[in-house]
Amino acid sequence: MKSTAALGIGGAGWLGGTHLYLKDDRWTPNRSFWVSRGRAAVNPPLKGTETADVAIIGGGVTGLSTALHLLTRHPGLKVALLEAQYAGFGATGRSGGVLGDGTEIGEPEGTDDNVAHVMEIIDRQGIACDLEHEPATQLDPYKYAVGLKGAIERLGARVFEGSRVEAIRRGASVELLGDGFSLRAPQLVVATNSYTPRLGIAPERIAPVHTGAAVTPPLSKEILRDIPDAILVHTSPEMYMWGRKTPDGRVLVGAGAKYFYGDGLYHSGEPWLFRALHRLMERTFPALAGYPFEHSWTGPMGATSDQEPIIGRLGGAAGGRLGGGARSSPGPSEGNIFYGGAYSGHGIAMGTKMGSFLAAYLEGERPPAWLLRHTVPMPPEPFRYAGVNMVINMMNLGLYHMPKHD
Amino acid sequence: MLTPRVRLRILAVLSVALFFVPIVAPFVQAITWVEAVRLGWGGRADRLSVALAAFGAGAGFLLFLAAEYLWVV
Repeated sequence: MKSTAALGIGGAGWLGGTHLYLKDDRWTPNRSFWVSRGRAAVNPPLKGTETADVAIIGGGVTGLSTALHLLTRHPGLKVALLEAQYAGFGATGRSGGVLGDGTEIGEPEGTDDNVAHVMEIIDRQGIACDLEHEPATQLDPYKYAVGLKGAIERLGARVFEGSRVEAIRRGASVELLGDGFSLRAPQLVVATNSYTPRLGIAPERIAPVHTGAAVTPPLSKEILRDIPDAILVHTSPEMYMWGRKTPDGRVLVGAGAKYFYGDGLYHSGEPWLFRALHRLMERTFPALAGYPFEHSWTGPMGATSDQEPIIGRLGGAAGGRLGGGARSSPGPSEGNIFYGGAYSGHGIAMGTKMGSFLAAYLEGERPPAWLLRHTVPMPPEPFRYAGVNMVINMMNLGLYHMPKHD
Repeated sequence: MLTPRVRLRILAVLSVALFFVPIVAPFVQAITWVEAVRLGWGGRADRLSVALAAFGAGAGFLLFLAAEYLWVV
């Protein structure tokens, strides 16, 4: 584990953990409530040299859905998916599992049927993920990811877990290199959402923003009766606490946003953050005051400068190690590296839909124009740290309002 | 060239006004403190300006800490 001291300004490390201010190459070690209840079998990593028609990096909802749509359109296509940890490790398995149409700030073209799209996939693939339709459409996001993984494997995809890509060699055929493996494919989909900039892909468009979530112990029916089924409480004009009830009678809540230096992906989950979250929950629902959190976790969300998801395409013969900061244009007509993500916390339904957009894009069908729009570029460090967190602070304080869709 | 009096008052305002900008806020507040001590110690600025700078830097830093650690959820 390597920790690189890059910058010490910004506050005292002991107050919040040095990873807030110092570049830390580790990934968040904690597990979500969903994963803590039991992990599904994990596939062995890729070893040796392999080829595929399409390579996908990322075993979250975006990558799994992309593979599903590709294989549904083209049975027999050789699809290989590489996941650094296990399917559902990232934002997918750490989310609340609440489904909704649209995005963080509206319902742009092609997103008004996101929930119906997820329902159709769950029905058709027979995915068991504790789906509830009433009072809100919600599921167990980790089981959903595991179900998608099983579905694409049945359709012939090869899923390699524990296979962290360390370098991308770009060219007419893309080569992915990792510890003891090499995967070559004419087309690559980078479906790593908040982890994308650390791969050197679109660092000026996507930044990882960390948030926290926690669950209470199972509660009595009397207490649950006073808690709304779908929780969405604005804590400022822009930021809010979200939450839901779980099938086993717990209350799950989440809130907060913070960017860590150097696109940091490590959040140790300091107790003070969850004390603040509990205070917020108590203020909102006094009946929950006597119930400390039983499990808490953190996770990075992908975010753009306008909080809307994006799709992009890269190409050319440029190669080299990851982290080189490959600049990307939003929607060129050429290029064999595709990426999509940045759902700002609304990724389960939108990420599933993103998979269909990406699969179509690989075939030359352009996604809706809003996904290919220009985004205000995010600067390199240290301006990135200051800028992204300044916007978050301003939204927290109600000093800035993100423009909404008409 | 700004007079010490004006410089201290501008720094005091910036220390508070920029409290929500990470990296920049503590940097400006530290400069304000140093300037307040330096100019106040040498008797080159009036007491009110020195007090405003010291207060601005202190209040701005408290607001910065609150933005980082209190108003996080």
